[in-house]
Amino acid sequence: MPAAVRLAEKGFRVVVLERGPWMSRRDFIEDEILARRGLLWPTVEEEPRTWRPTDAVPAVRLATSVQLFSNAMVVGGSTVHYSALAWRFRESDFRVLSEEGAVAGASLADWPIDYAEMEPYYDQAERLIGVSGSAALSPFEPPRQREYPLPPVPRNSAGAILERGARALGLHPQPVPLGILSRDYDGRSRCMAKGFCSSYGCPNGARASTTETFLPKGLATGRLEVRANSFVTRVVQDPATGRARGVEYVDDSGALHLQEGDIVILAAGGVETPRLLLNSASAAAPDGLANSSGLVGRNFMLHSPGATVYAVFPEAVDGHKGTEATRTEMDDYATDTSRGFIRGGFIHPRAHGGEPVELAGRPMHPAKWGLAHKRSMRETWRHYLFSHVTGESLPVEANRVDLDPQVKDRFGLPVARITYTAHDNDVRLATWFAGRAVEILEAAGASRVVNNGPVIRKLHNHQMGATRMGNDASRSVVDRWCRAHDVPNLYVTDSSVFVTSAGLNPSLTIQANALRVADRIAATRGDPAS
Amino acid sequence: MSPASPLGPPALAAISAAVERIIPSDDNLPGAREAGTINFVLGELGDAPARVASITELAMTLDAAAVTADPLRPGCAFAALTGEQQDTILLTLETEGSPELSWLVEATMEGFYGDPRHGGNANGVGWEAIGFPGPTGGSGYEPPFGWYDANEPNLPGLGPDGTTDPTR
Repeated sequence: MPAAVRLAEKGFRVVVLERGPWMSRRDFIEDEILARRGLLWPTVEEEPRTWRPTDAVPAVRLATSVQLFSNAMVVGGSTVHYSALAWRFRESDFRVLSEEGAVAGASLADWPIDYAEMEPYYDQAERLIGVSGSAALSPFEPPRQREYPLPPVPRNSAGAILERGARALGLHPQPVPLGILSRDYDGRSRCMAKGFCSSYGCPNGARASTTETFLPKGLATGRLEVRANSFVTRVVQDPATGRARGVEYVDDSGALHLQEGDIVILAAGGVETPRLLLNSASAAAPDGLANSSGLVGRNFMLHSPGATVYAVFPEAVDGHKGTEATRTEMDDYATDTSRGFIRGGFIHPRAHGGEPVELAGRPMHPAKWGLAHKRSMRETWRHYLFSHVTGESLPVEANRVDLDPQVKDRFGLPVARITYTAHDNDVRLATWFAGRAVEILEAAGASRVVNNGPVIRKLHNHQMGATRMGNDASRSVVDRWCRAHDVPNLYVTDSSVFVTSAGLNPSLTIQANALRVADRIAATRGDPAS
Repeated sequence: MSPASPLGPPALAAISAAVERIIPSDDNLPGAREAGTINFVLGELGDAPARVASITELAMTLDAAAVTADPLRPGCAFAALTGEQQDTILLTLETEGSPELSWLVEATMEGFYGDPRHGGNANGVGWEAIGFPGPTGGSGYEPPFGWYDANEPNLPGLGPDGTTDPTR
């Protein structure tokens, strides 16, 4: 969406195709049951994915509950429901191979771009979507040309608890930069702190969904058209020229269309973009479009298999109020090899947002049902929080998205098969950071802490790496401008192009990079060489 | 109970009794019975014929276990046992890893703690039991939100509303 809107603003005529419906504020109902049934994932049952840990094991169909921990199937995608943590990646995140050297079992590489090239686009993205934060209060911030456009959102009790624990340990708590408005901004209203945040659409538009930030500006140009319920089945390549002619898509009546275009941009998410390229195989590209390197789908990353740590506090946390994550510490982000792993991440204790059914299934109750469970629900509801740990995952070439040989979607197309086992470094990192979260929460005075340990990652909102960016066409899928090495008018602007994952939420980097790519397209009208 | 119940009377009696043990009406606080949770469970079953079959089977398993559960009342139905006796049977099934029981526990939680619009949690009694006012329905909250943000010193320069930043 950021690329589409930027191009429309620069005079291009743009058609955006989205497989799901176009929902608006009034559709975002605060109802936990509807969320659990996939309100924002209406086609999840018809669009399954399969998963296996390694090639040696048959793939199984992912449960719907796992699939709901992935990008929404509506106009706006994951920005409709994300927690909106709006991080800039750090300078070292763009040069992991140079910083760390080669690591066995990992396909580390440097990005072909660096932080300095991204900085102006981070700045633009922060201002376009309205990021609330404070560089002055963030001691580990990378260099930036100016302050955040908005001050931090009000701190919740989960954030105050992080501060209390971090201070006790001599760490440096700071605000989490959020794409959630702390003040009215650009015609949108500030956050009401009403709960039902992550996993829900925002009914007053305070969160930086692309439907609130970019889309209205794109529509105002008169050159941007969104076609919802339009599932792209393949990219059509002209065998004579090697260029993409356009895409085929199925509309909600089931009719197949060809949408031609001078330029094709894929931003279907880290699973569906590689799947679409593989489903676009032809006589000219028998292994999938843009896949002469054989790397389409490979180096897939899902962030470290972060433990979730639960804590109960003696006083009221009242996590049904406020935005979810408001404070964190970045002291532990840089590599410290004495910890037994490279790279890092951060801990973000959260207000739960108001989901009692979710609490009922949490692992901190003495029983799963009965009187003991009922009492525990009453004792914990106003007093508990959970802390996510987000950490870097190393790219592994065998971790990949390919086409499932058996399972088909509603159109008869092979679904994405995910093959994924976290690198050992990711597991060590996740284990250490979970221990750190326990330490902080205990130092803050928790009466009880439950650490569920590293999980087995099968799918995640953060899907990265499967169409890697690079200068060497034999070792990457797209070039530094995110243009396919093999197809001169085909671009990818989602997190598939990430070379490494950083230990931070990807969304601001996706949006900033999409603006960078769009500016390049506008400057060159596609292919400067053709 | 409901004329549209997808379960026959014996199965409905056993499943209703199980639901009322999953969230009992103890401590002078409403449980699944007062919340009408069974209505939600039946609604969920109504959409899924395969699930009706497996939950009917669960009811038969509960009744079969009940036959010998009370030495003084041989041949008793699950619904007629005491709460403790019912809990013993449910615990055995849980230990055995019964997927049907696991489904019923989850559906019961949804029908007690979920939004009343789906037929359970009548009058919001499930929310009341834990101290949740429910969705705000168009309004919001102002800080402080909880005890900790009211009492823990904030970062330098940030005022009581959390956002005051004199540098801007």
